[in-house]
Amino acid sequence: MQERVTTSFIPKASLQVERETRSTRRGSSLVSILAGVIFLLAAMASVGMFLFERYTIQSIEAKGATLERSRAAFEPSTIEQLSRLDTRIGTAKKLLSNHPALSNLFDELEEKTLTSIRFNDFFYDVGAQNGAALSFSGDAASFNAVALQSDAFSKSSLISDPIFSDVNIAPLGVVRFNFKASVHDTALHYVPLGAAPSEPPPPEESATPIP
Amino acid sequence: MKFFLPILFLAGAVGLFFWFIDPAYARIKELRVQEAEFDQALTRARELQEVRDELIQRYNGFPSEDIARLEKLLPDHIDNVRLIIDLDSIASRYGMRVRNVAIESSQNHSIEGAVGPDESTYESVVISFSVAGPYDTFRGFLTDLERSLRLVDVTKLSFSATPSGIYEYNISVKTYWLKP
Repeated sequence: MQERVTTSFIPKASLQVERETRSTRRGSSLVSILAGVIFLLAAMASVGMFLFERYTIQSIEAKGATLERSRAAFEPSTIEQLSRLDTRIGTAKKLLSNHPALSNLFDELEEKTLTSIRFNDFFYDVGAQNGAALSFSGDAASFNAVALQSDAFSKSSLISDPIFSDVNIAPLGVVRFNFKASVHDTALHYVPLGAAPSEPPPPEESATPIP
Repeated sequence: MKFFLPILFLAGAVGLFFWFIDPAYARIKELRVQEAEFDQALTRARELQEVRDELIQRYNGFPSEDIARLEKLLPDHIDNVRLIIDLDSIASRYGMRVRNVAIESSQNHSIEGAVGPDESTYESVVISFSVAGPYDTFRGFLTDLERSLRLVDVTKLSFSATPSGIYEYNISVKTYWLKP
């Protein structure tokens, strides 16, 4: 007996399975693409990092060489010479600003000393801390002359703390005395020729050379 | 099996990150810091070069005679023999001779009682000597001494009156030189 063949356009098997396979394939290929892109980006970043690192190293080497050339161009001996001159000028200025002119003291003594006074010796000493000390002994015509001399020295801008001591009448009738004072350092400062003095000297009446 | 390739890619990417990218990034950060220091040093070098050029220009503007005078004013070493010759030369202008020369002490200039390194740029020595002559002559000598190019500060002076009018002056002067 012959079997009857039935023809139909309607597929006997369901298409659901094929659809699922296609969707899964599409999903897996998307993941593959994404993973591929990530890998590609990582690879590109690696190459970029490598190249940038090489570039930076070369740049540092070039800058180091330039710096070394600059250092060599400085010529340490020239710098040393300039530095020494600068120190010399600065030190000389400092020392000159404190340079004493003892002539100022003698000028002052000559101006302030009365004609009735005579000095027998003179001692000047720049101490370590308390400025310069001045001391001398002398003879005066009278006690009054000593008093007037004391008054004259007390008005001096150079001499400070004048002290007359051991005032006694000597055998020949003169009045003998000792004198001590300190000297203002600042008033003794040397003023170069042509430069204006910081303080004009006060006008005085008598002028007596010593001793 | 179908996820083998994506997993391989992702593993490769992660591997690259931890094996190369991250360490390289750390190295580059350090290199950039180093490069910035070099840039700063180069900028300073350029500025210093400008200052140096300016200073050299000013130095060249100084007459060599003035520099020589400055070196005489404050020499590099004590040079006491030259100083004594100079003192005697000044004294001889006034018909006097320098005698009894003695070097008293070498001094530094740190403040007494001060603690710390000595930052003074110079040293000094006290030289004592005597000259004999009339008062007026001595005044001239003293004035020349104060104005002498070699810097000398009178620190001590003593003399006594004599009937002849010729006094013996005992003088101590302090002179300076630049520290090496």
